Amino acid sequence: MTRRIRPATAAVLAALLMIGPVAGTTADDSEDIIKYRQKAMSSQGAHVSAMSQIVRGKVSYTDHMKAHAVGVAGVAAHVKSMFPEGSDFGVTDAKMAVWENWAGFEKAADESREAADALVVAVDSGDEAAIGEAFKTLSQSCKGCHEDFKEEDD
Amino acid sequence: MRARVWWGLFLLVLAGWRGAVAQTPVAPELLERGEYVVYAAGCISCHAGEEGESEHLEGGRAFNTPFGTFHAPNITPHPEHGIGRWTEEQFRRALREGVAPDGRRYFPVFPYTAYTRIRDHDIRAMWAYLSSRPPVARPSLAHGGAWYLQLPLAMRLWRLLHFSPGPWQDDPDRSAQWNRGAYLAEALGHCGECHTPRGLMGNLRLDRKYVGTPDGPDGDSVPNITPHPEDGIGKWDQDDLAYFLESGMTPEGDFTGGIMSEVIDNGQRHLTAEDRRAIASYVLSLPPLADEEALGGGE
Ligand code: HEC
Ligand code: HEC
Ligand code: HEC
Repeated sequence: MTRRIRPATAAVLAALLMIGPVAGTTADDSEDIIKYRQKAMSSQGAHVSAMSQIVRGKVSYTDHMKAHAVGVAGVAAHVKSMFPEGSDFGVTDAKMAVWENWAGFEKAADESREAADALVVAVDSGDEAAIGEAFKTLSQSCKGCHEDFKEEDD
Repeated sequence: MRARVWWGLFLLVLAGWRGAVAQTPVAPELLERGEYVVYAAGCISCHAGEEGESEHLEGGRAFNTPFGTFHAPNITPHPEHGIGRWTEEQFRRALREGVAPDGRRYFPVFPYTAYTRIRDHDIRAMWAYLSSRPPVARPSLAHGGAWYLQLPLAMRLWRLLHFSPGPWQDDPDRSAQWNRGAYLAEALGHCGECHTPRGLMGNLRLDRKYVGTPDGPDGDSVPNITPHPEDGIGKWDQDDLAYFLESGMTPEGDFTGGIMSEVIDNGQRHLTAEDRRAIASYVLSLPPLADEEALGGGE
């Protein structure tokens, strides 16, 4: 009773297998994705807030800047993938605009990633004024995306 | 014939004199202060062009309220569409008393219940600054206020109940920084216009100052900014709040969006660090109040 798999079927199966992992991201539960991205965003917030204390001179851990900046840059590169189609179902502050204006969202995410990369470069340079400027630009990029794509909470 | 020559001379002299008046240079410090006060008072958020991209105060932005839709008018010095034909006194009356040159009472969407506290010298500086800006020929839009607001006595009655004009008075028992902050928050920054809940008549409930409201401007919820440790910002220190007003970042590293972001970008961000610290010192000195729900549903 062994059946040979016909080439056409094999092609379909292979195609399915290849699509599988890609589609897998959206197969995650919407609520879990939301929880995950909120945690990832919170970590961005914690890094940026910690850096702000250093940049404002409230603490003198200037040698910690690199670790925070690299952390933010790493996560910033993944922001787009944390908002797959359909992940608007659940307790989220993401506005529908994320998916309705995906091009705008991508642009905001790209700008933020570039700003984070630029901060890493500035930190490496050790130039305090450049670090201050780059940190401001990064903050503006976070604020810019929230302005258009994140619901105001209370 | 001779009479005509005399008339001509007279007109020439008059024209020369008027030209001279128009060209009297305004002290640059006055213009600078005026610009600063315009930022501190957040006029730009409302009066900038519709897209909010314009640097000119040509108006057009719509405000949806439970009492109808209102539009910010053109306040550039355009003689026809703006306030170019106004006198300084008429401008002062608009802010201090909420009364138009033709005697009409303004709708309090124009937050004159706060602006009435602005001091004369700041009004004068704003007038000088606004008059120095380029005129924009953009007609102001009509309002769509509720029918009962059109009743001749409606606004007068409302004002009688909810409006007490007059400039801010310092509290001599408080520090100079606190008083500066109070003036900046109450008279200029009008934080309470959004952060204080309103009663049925759209009046601010001053016993609940800064406690926030689920239905703020455009139906968005506005958070509690009293120093209540759980419901408000009691865990923030003065630096945290001052930095928030500069950058939009909360101590958790979240970034504010929407309308508060405009308040910062079109206003607070442009103030001196000292002034932002003054506002923070005032706001954090207010009585801590719990959210409405915590009181068992509120009123
Ligand atoms: C491209 C858009 C975008 C960028 C860039 C962005 N954010 Fe966010 N952020 C969002 C959205 C959308 C949410 C709401 C997510 C949700 O609730 O599902 C959010 C949520 C947050 C939260 C709240 C998380 C929680 O616990 O609910 C914090 C904190 C935060 N972001 C910080 C930052 C920081 C810091 C940066 C800059 C380094 C940043 N964000 C950049 C879109 C962005
Ligand atoms: C919250 C939005 C808002 C802010 C902030 C605001 N305005 Fe207005 N303003 C309005 C609206 C709406 C009207 C129209 C009121 C009416 O017609 O009853 C108005 C009317 C006016 C008028 C009357 C114009 C006319 O043609 O009669 C002047 C002058 C004016 N504003 C100046 C200012 C100045 C100066 C500031 C800053 C100190 C300011 N406004 C801040 C919304 C605002
Ligand atoms: C035009 C309306 C408006 C005005 C005016 C305004 N705010 Fe806000 N404010 C808001 C809204 C809406 C939010 C919520 C934004 C969000 O959730 O991202 C907010 C958020 C805040 C927060 C963050 C609170 C938190 O728990 O995250 C602080 C602090 C604050 N405002 C202080 C002020 C101060 C001080 C002033 C006066 C100088 C002021 N606001 C004037 C509308 C306003």
